[in-house]
Amino acid sequence: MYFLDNYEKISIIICFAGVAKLADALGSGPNVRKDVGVQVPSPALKGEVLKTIDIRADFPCLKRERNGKPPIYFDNACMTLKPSYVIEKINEYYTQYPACGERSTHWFAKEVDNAVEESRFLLKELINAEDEEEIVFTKNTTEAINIVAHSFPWEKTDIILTTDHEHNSNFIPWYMLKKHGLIADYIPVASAADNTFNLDHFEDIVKKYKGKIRFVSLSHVSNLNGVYITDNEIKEIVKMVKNQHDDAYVMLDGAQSVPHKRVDVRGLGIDFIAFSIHKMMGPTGIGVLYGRKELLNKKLLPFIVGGGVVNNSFFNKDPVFFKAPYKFEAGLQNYAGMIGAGAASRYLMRIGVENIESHEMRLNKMLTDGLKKFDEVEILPPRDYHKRSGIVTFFIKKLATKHDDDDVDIDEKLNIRANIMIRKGSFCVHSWYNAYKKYWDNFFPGFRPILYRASLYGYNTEKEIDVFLDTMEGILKELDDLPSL
Amino acid sequence: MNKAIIEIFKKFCLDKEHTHSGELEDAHDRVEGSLCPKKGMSDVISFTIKKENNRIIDIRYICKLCDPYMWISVEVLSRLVASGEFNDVMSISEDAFEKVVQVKDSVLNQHFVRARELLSLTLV
Repeated sequence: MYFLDNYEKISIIICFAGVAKLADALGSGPNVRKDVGVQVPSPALKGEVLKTIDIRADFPCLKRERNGKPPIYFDNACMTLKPSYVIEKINEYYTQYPACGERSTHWFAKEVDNAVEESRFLLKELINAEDEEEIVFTKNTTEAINIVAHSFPWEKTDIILTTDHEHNSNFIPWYMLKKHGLIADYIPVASAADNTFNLDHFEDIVKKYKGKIRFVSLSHVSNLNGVYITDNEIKEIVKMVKNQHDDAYVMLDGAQSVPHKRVDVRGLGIDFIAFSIHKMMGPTGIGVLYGRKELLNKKLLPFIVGGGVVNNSFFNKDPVFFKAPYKFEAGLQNYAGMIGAGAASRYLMRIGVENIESHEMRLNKMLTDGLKKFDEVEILPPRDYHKRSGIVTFFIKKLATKHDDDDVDIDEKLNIRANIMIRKGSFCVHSWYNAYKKYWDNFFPGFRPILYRASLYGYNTEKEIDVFLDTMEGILKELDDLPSL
Repeated sequence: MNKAIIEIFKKFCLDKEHTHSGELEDAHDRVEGSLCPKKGMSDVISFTIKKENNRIIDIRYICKLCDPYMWISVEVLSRLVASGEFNDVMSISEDAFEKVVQVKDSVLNQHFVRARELLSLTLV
């Protein structure tokens, strides 16, 4: 399914500065967004729901079968599938112009530079940044957060706030700053009893440490259970954080939000956001750090340095760094990844992230309602699907969920019987899991369940949810002889 | 599975009043290991232990992804070692275990032996 031919044919010959003009030049054909030259799907304009089957054909791996059954991929919070469009844009780089960017002046190198800058432009459009120069390519979300953590001019009196259910990527960097004595404290602000973000409590903490909070870094959507912070709450957070300290900043971990919902960095008023391209139908090994231009240029001093970040260096004085984003992109870059990121961004905008969000919400309701019918299944709070993005994390209220050594666990049974791929574990939120002991102990002393996570995306279908629930029903029946709590 | 095993599992492991399932916040020692690495993600057992004068004065365990055999083994083992000398752990015999559970089951015994080895690691 190709829908961008005209744009692509033209875009290959344009230079960075000409991208926006190109979009204008595309004219105002039916359903064309002038700013990016991307065709908006007509269902979105008509307010119709996304027909997932339309995009499923774009994903080669969804055409595979095992034991006569198709794959049912519910591990999207970890990694998303890749459409042909993205794969072919990456292939195009390797087969047509596999050269260095940002250094050489020859034919292929120019094409790399153009393609990379076009990607930056598309990513800027995706999150409504002001300028392409606010888009820094990184390896992933983790690296993006680390760049901020290790490039920011901390003072020893600074306090950093996060929530209590952060992915290790948005926890360990701050924890280590405290451990190394670079800041005064790191505080994971407690969530409400149902695991949702507690703005009142957050405000109490801000008041308590007024004037000392220098940085706030929050998961926009939690990979643990899909809990999200609303746009209005984020605006409130930005306001209260900046009111108490005139040099304080707010960052979002957008790994689970940017691929699934409309994120408008300017509208939210945030200073930084980090996200990974592999969670938005793009390639692995590439991520994005968005930062406001003046902060990237004047506030942060890069910590990964070397080739590609300076335009001059001397034995007896400081090197002269490039301006952002280049001063943060040290060494030879992942050009295929960068180009793939642009392709993924374009693909995502073509579908419409709003369409993906509403589609996931519908599937989430169906999955949540279905799981609630099983007595043995407990959905990790909040149980209300409205309070979660397209993620349903659950556990089984039994001390034992397998009969013996030869029995496999529930996720493996789903995989073996119906090609259903989910995730189990602590999802890199060990700190929360370990601190949540009292909740588990309420079921039974020392009860530490395995968590199972089904995470959805635009290509998932209602039929897949039905198969999942039917398969779960069969598995749970086989565990009937093992007592429930 | 063997109905007798499920009955023993219910009897020893679902008794909230007497279970050793849990964690000791002020433990002196902690040992964690996987005992049934046969398929997929293995079980993980962790013991937390409080000691005094070379004696175990309290012990708790967390049994994650354990099957009933392992639950029974670690629960009964915990009961047997409570208040025991450290050196005694490895000397707790399968006979003593069978006497408590009142069943002869080779699979259950194998699990018990593995649990005993794991616990002894932290006490030697």
